[in-house]
Amino acid sequence: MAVLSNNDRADCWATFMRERNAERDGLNLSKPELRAAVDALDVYFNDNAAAINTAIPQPARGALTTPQKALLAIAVLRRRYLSGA
Amino acid sequence: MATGNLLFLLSPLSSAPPATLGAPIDIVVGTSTPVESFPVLVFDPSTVWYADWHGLVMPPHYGGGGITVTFYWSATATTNEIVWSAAFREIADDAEDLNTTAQTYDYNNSSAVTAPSAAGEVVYDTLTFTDGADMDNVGAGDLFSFRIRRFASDAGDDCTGNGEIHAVKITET
Repeated sequence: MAVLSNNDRADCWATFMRERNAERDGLNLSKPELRAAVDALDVYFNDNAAAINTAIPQPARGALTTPQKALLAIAVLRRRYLSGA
Repeated sequence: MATGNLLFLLSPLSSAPPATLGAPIDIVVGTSTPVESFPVLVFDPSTVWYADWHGLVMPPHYGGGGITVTFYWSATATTNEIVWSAAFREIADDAEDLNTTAQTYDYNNSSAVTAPSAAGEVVYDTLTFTDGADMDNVGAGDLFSFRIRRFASDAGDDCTGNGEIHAVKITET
């Protein structure tokens, strides 16, 4: 899978701001700075997709679909960094 | 005619959203007893949204000195800047069919104004119009519509927070 298209990155950026603003969770950086972070994370996930996949042991690696693996990663990140934050 | 004469005080609750890209009304919740509900028009940081007021008639005491628009606004982020815009649409006597005549709104833009230092604070910022074509030739006694927007696509608008309009004041400059 290649990096996201510019439109997809823009949609991700806009959606993130909308979700944070709905929670009145102020982001103390500029719109271009946030967009740069979106782009950089997209590149990072693209460059490290194989390594992230390898980190999942079998049989999970073979049994889970790619979307399921992404949701699993989100669940772990949520538990690590958002619970009790 | 006098500088500073109040012409209109516009509330979020009297606005009319356009058919698309309308800024929604939301509530900023206070903390008094009982708790206040401050109505605001919410402007997204990534998309240009609009709010309209219709059925405005320029008062007879408007003396042609031009207009100052004051935005009373807050933001959900406390850094960086927002650009606000406004435009007039004259609806002249027996001149245009509102159902069929498209208006090209000629916006004046504020400078890039800094978000308040706290998310619950309201700041006051202005922009001006000269009398005449700059305000679509709206004069005393004329019916007009008034449109505002957050110019979210402008390079100077770099605040990631929502811009929240609490009120708009229109005075003679």
